[in-house]
Amino acid sequence: MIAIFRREMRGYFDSLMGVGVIGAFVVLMMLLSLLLDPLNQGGDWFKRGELSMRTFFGVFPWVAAVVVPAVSMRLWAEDRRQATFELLMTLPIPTWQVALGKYLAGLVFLAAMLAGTAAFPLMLANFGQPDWGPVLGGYVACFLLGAAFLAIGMFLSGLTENQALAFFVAMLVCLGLVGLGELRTFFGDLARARPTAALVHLTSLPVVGLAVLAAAVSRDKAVGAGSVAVGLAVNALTYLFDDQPSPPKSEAVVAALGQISVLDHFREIERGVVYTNGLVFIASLVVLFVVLNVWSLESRRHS
Amino acid sequence: MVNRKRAYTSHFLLMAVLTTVALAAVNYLAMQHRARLDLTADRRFTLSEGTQRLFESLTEPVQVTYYVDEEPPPKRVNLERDVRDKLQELASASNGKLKFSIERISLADAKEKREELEKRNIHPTVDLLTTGGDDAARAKGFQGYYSTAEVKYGLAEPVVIRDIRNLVDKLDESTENRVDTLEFDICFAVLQMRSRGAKVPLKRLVRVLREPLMVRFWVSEQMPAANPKLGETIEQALRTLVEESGGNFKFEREVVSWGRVLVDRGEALPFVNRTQEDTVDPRDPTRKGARHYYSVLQIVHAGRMNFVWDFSGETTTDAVLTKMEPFVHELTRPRTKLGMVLPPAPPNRRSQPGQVPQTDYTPLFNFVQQNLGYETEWVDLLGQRRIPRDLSCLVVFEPNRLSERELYEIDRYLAEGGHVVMFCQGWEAKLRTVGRVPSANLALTKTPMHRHFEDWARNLGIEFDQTLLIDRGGKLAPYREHSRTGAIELIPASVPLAAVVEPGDINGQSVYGRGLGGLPLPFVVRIKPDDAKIAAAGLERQDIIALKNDIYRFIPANPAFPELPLNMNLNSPAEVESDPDATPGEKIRLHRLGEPALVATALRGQFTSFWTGDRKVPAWETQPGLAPPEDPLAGQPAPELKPRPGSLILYSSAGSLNIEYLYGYNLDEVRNALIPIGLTMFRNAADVAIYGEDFVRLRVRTGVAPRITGEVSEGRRLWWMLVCIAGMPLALTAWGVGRALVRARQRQEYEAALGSGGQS
Repeated sequence: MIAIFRREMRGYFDSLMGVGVIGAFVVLMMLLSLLLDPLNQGGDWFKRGELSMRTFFGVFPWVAAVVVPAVSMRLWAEDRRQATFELLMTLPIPTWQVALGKYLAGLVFLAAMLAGTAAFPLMLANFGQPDWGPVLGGYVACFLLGAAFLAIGMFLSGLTENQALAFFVAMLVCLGLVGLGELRTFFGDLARARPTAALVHLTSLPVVGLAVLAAAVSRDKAVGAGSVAVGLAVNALTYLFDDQPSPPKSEAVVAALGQISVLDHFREIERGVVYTNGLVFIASLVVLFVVLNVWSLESRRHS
Repeated sequence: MVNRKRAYTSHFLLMAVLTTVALAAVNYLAMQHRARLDLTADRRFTLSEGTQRLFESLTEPVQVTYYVDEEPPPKRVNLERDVRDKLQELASASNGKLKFSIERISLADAKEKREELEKRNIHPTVDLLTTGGDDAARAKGFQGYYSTAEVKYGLAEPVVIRDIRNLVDKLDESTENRVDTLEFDICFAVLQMRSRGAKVPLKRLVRVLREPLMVRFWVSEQMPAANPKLGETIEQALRTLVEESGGNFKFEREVVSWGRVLVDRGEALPFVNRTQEDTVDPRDPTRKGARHYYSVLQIVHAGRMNFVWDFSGETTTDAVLTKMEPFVHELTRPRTKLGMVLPPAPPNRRSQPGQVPQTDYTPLFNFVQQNLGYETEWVDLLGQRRIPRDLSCLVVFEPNRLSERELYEIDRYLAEGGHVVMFCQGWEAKLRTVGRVPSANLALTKTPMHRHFEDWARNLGIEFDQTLLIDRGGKLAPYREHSRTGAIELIPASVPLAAVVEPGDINGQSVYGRGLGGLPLPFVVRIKPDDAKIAAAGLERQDIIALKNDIYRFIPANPAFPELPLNMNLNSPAEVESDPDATPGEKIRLHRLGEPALVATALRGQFTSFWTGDRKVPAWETQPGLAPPEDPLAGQPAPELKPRPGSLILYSSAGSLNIEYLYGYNLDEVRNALIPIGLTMFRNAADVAIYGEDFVRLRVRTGVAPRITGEVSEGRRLWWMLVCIAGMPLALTAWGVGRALVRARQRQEYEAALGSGGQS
């Protein structure tokens, strides 16, 4: 596992791409949080006068959803392209160790990306006495979210040898996860008006998603298309039945949405409040996608 | 092949679903048992115990609507976000009992919408624009924007929290409603609405009133053309109330003809109702004009009066009763009664028994009576011989001068659940001199501190250190009254005898400390609490004011006749010892305290009477020229009490409420700051009495995010922008170049080694 880890680390830091990703990430984050501040009506960080990194943590999920897939896209796809994948799979070590070695290397690279933004907290210290609790908590949360995106990206990278495709799909999934929080109001209203429909939408989303992933793993187009069609049909059918408003059901849907909304958890973290359930959700994403990655590789190994 | 593929798909799907279900279960458990970490240093996003208690006890939902300007001033760019943070915190901690919405008001919004908001008392907030945020800043204009929250609870009238600002600069610290007080403001609004929420319907109210309700109904012969039976409808409604009341409601009807009757009788006509329709004057059919008519109710209850007019639209008796209801509720609502114990008047101003003594505190007492909206009564301890138990709060000026029996009565009131505010006075000085220029020194007098008062306070764990404290920033101006004209002429000397309470001196989280910033405390001394004794007495202490500025002890040259030099220089090393640990020399007049001086504190809990066991009930003191009062209790063991938790607030200065010391300030200061802040002390104490423990437990202020300190020059700003944005890419480029150079060198060395190897 250590050998795999070292190999991947060399892959990141010996290539221009790795250094370029860190540079691009830092520039993008700093421009967005210091000058543009797109989430708070725009403006200069200095004009706000607040000694905090809220603008930074506010834009991080969106930037990470784009940049982290760029880090993860090469994890498996590069091996497939260079035909070293088969070599790795035939090594006398368990698949999970190979996957974990690669994932740990990705985590270290993610940490290096975050360390690249250390100038921001240094600037805070220079301009007064900042509250370090939210800054540290924010960085830990950023690392965790990055770790989750990395796991997603690594899993999707294992499904294709096309790095661009791996990047694009991972980016879409990550952006979807972040954007889900923005749909909370819409889902909340829907849950109040048609609770059963909202419940069906909410449960069918991961089920259909997993079915599509399973189809992608085994390159079984029929199963993929079939599960999407069934999912759509079931969701559409719910609108044919009379759906009476039911406050307990609506509340359950809204609570579940709150739990899976990365953005909601991040809004809390941004101001210095951490709810353990948010961390559990992000950690669950890491576990789920690393495990899926190992199983998908195992299935390839034996197919 | 297909079957094998399907098998893998099924296997993968099964395992994925199982993992997902397991993780969903973990997430469900995490949702149910979630913990919360507030990482801010001052725990500003953690609700106070009081707020949590209040939300637990609420029976109705709370709805907060925040009206905010879409384009706030640049200074307020964080305002909406900061308010949202607070509201979100309250909403998530309230278990669904508080819901909020944010409504943005833009310039493009229709005039009707703005007018609708105005009707609901939602007006734009006006900010003074200045050239900076420091003391040297100059005003350069005003800017208006919306920032108001409307709080609704149950059926009660909504409470509007106006002009919510975030703390950006010093100017904001003096504003009343801020983001850091929002938690308290909302909770207080809910408390207020809850206490006045349940209103008894009028028909039931008239049955249960303790005192009868009297109504005088003025009605014109001619009613408006649109509602000609209005007079009869109102009369019918009043008759219904008479039938329902069981003799508790009476009314008289008086017919008024065109307002002449009242004018002829010399009574005012403030309640003329007018319609704008053209009509004919019955006395002069040729005259046309606006119709005037009366449909006015004068409602009298327990010596108070209220008017209801404008009945023009009411066509049924129920509508008339609905219209009357809020007016009757206002008139009959329970009132907050403040009792005041004043010190005895000086011999030259002695009043008759039963009359309010003419002391230096009496003008403020009159002012409170007129302006604070509470019922205020002078508690004549010598005449009444007990404190009325229906008082919400008892204010005692200079308790250190009270007789033992007077203190005994206050002690019993406190032990039976009373709320007492005591303003002690350690020192005094005659600032006013008639007809002569005072000397270079101001004569000071130690106010008598009776032994029984000291013992009583010590029993509670409180001691007064009667050393006079001097504050560098404080001032009191002695003045003289010209003997011929009687005009007041100030002497140009400012004596630092009044400590000024700065925002940092106040326990910002205590409800007792609300709005006390800028309060002058003349002749302040120090309160020394004994925590062990307070705890042993089962009381809870909450400090209100601890002076943290440069506070000095005054050391009189002659302790027998203390005098303060009017030209005393606080910066002169010859007069001031600044080292708190040093022993002051003989010539030193001031010695730095070196630690905060507690000058106001509150004790809460079940007070135990001082007069128990061997201590017998003290006798009333005999008044000069009067026969000794009959006093069967004197010398007897104290009768049994009905114990209930109460509160005692102690201030170590009463001077800010003493008219004697206010003359030294200019009129604007007195009108705009001193009196309102003085009244705030009463308001805080009275609110404690009205809203009880729920109110005391609230946290008045939460922390705020730290801000950039000092000026940020353009150069410094650009430098840090450059470091943040370009620093890392430049470092990475340098690292990459360095690494490439090292590699090139290694390659060269390798190739050279290969070459030499080849040659050999």
